[in-house]
This record gives sequence, structure tokens and C-alpha cells, in this order.
Amino acid sequence: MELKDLHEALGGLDAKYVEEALNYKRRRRRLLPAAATAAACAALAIFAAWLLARPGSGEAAPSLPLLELGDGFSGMGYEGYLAYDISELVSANPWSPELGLETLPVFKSGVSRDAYGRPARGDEAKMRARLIETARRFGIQEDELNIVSDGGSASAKARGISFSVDCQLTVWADFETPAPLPEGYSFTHRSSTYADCEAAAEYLLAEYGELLGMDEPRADIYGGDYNIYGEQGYGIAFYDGGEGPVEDILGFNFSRAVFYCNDAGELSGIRFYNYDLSQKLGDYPIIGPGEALELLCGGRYITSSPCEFPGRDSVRRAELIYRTSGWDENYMPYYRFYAELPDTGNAEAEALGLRNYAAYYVPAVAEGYLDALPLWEGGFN
Amino acid sequence: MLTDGEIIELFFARSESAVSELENKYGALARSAAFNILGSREDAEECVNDAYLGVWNSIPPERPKYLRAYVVKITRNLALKAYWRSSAVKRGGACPAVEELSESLPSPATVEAELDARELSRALESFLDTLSAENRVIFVRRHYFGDSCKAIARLTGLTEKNVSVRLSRTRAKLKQYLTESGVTEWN
Repeated sequence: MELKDLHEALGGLDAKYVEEALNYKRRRRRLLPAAATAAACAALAIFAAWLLARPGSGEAAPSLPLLELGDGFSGMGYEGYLAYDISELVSANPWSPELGLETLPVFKSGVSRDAYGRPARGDEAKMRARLIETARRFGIQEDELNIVSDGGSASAKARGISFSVDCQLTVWADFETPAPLPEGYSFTHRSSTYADCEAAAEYLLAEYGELLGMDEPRADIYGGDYNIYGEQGYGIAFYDGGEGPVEDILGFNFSRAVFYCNDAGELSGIRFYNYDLSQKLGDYPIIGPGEALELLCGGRYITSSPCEFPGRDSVRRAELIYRTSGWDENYMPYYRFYAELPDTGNAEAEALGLRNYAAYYVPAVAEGYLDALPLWEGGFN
Repeated sequence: MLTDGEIIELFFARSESAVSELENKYGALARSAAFNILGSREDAEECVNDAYLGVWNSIPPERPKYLRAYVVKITRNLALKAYWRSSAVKRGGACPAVEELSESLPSPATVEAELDARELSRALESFLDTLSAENRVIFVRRHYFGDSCKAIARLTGLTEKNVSVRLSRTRAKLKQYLTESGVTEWN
């Protein structure tokens, strides 16, 4: 017998074995009962409008490479948000189902990984160039920077600012001497209202807009979630807006600057996100939020929540974002569903009446272009 | 998207849209199966086009119960034929998912039974029936579809290492099964 013969015999298998392999779904534990509340019904009525705005999948584009999905999340803890109502969680995400997008671009991240899949090395020349370019916006010339690089990051210090850049080309600029905001402005971790942050953002743009390196900076006051003590907080960021909806979405996800404050409400640093999008894989057909919801209900999701998706009735919101973790092979769009969990898991938060919203991700790229759909395995993915 | 039954009816009607509907529904899967074996997008594309011709020529009179499996089977068979012919393979550009199955070739023994290819397929099915569903799926995904261990790991929720170890053990069990069954030669 030769290898050819064995493969020929394998090719003669009854179709039921082939179908079994194609339909396979790993069994998973059911941890939580589904939650159904009057608020959930009301939210679903609103969400039902989104189901009608499903974009068509469009013609299958020829020869697009199959996409491998990211392995999940780095770091500890899970992506959960505490709030009294989902409406308190805000961002300036420019996506909406009414846009009716049929395709979105996917990019290779270009980050090399170690044996455990962790981001390891970046392009040293690009990291260096990004650091220099950022420092130049602060008026610091290249010859003032003594750049130290270890392959996974690079850093330099000049004029009281510490710069560091990672393999995803994200630059941190930390001020040795934090800059206070003028009196009347409130820029704090957990004591500033949304209106306070809007005002502070206006000031920061006027004062530091030149540092952003953006053609059309747009404010993103994001967050609105609470800590377990009932303190609400927001972040202040800007993203580079584009001429059309796709460019807007790309700017929101890939070209951002986040301002950071210290406990005294002073500007302590800025983080510049400018992902390397030089390796575009193509414009991939995407599914609509309705189809993504069906996949979510079928267990085809990834999450950092330790809880199984609680069911259709728990969904409070869906939005489209690009996952930009260093663990992801590709930068590709996902639907992020916010599902209300039955409890917060924390006595103090429970006593305050806070609700717990966990994030569940479903690939937005149509299934035929994916190596395999994700499958929740009963723990952190 | 049309159902399998509707697509089969298009083939029976010799409709021009039959192949395009087939491509729409199962093109990506067929290309993936071919690419896994051949390692070349162009060769995979050519293989899939040949597979569509094969489907056109066989339906009718065939009326497959599982159209998806039917298309993949034809594609796989054509891909393997191209693989064995390939000069790249002869130069050492082998496909691991194809070559690894050599571990299951039974040991030479006194001839106790002679099987034709169809009977060997039935013997393989009997072996697969002895496996758990998970291990059976892992084996079929690897050696029928040519999926990478990484892709199988993602599908099953196992680690890549775990998948690799399970495959190795299953191939060893298959070798033992075929040897004990007295399968060494066939017509």
C-alpha cells in the first residue's frame, strides 16, 4: 500500500464524515440562565430597527486571502463596563448600521510574534521613524534624541518629555512636568462630567492640536462607565476624520491621540495611536449586525468575559470596531455586542444598583473569507 | 443564497447560472481545500474550476444528498492528483497534511486479505467510528481538508500542541487497526 492509496480511500469516505467535520461545534457549558427584563424588551425593540439595515454581502471578490482570527486578549481581567444604563456608555464611533457598508478593508498587522503568540518584534526602522516624527511635532529635533531600541520598543528623552514607541507604532509622550489646565477646566479621572470633558477637549485641541499630526481632528469623549464606588469617568481623545464613512471609521480606529491626566487634573501625557496600515489585504465583504447577532447566539464569538453569552435578550448595543490588539494577526472589523450580565459580581456595585455590560465580539467579515469562525470555549478565549 | 436543492435543480436544467451559484455558496470552501493541499492560489483556482466542470458533468444524473461534501470531494480528488504530479512535491515542497498520513501505512505482514479502494474506504470508516467525535473531526479536518493544526485548534478550542499530539496518536492507532485487519494489499 502506498500513501496515494490511503488518500484515495480517504477520498471515498461517506459524506456524513465530511459533513460532520464541517458542521462541528464544540460543546460548551451553560453557566448562566438567560435574562429577560422589561428593559431588555424595550432595548430589543430599538435594536430591531438595526436588523432591517443589513447591508448586502455584495459580489464575492476574487482571490482575497483567507483571514486568520486573533487568538484573543492580552492582559488580565475582562472587558466589562459598569453603568446604570447602556446609554451612559459613549464614544464618537462614526459607524452606524444606516451606512449600509458592504465591504471594509482588512490589514496585516506586520507584527512578529513569539512562540506564545505575543507581539515580539516590530520594524525597528518604522518605530524609530515614528518616534522621531512625533518628537518633531513637539519641536524636538532628531539630534536631541538618544534613541534606545531593543527590537520590541524604542525610547528617548528630551526637553522633559519621555518618548517610547512599541511594535505597533504607538507612541507615548510622558511629561516630566505635567501641564495644568487653566482655572475653570476640569480634566480628572472620575470627577469630570461629560460637559466638563467637552470643554477640556476644546481647550486641549486649541493648545495642543499641532501635536496631533491630524488633518481633521475630531473629539471623542469616550467612556461614561463607573467604578465599583459609583464614580463615573470619561476619556478625552481625538481621531483623524476622513472624507467618507470608511475613512472616518479607519481614522477612529487607527489614527487616534488620547490625552491623560494625573490625580491633580493636570495633563500628564499623550498617547499617539497610528497603526501601520501599509499591508492592506483587501476590501472584504462584511455581514450586517443582524447576521452577526445570529452568529453570536450560535456561540460563534470571542470574549474576555468568563461568562457564556447570556442570550439574545441580554443584548443592549452593537457597534462595529476594528480590533487592534498586538495579538491579532490582522486588523479586521468586528461587531462588539454589549450584553447585560445578570449581576456585577461585586457587592458594592450591586448595592449601588449598577449593571454589568460585557463585550462579545463577532467577526464582521463574511464567513467565507475566514479561516474559521470563532467558537466560545468556556473561558477566556 | 439558494438552497442545495435549488442549485442541483439548476444543474439538472443545464442552467448557465448553476456554476455561479455553486461558486457563490461553496467557492471559498473549495478553494480553501484545494489551497491546503496545493499551496498555490493559482493552482487552487485552476483546481476549483476543474471541479466545477466535474460537477457539471456528473449532475445529472447524480443527485448528491450533501452538495457541499460532494463539491469538496471532487475538488480534493483533483487537488491530490495535481499534488502527486507536481514537480514541487518531487523537489521537497510537500504538504505536511498529506505526507503525515504515511505514518498510518500498515506494517508489511502475511497477506490475509485483499481489498479494493472502496473496501479500504469502508475499513477507514469503521476505524473512524471507533474514535470520539472530536478526534474524528480533528483527523478528517487535517487529512481530508488539509487544515493546519492552528486552524483545528481554533475550531475545537484545544491548543495547537494538543491537536498535534492527538493527530499523532490517531495515526498510530490507524496503523495498528489496518495492520491487525490484515490490510496490506488490494486490487
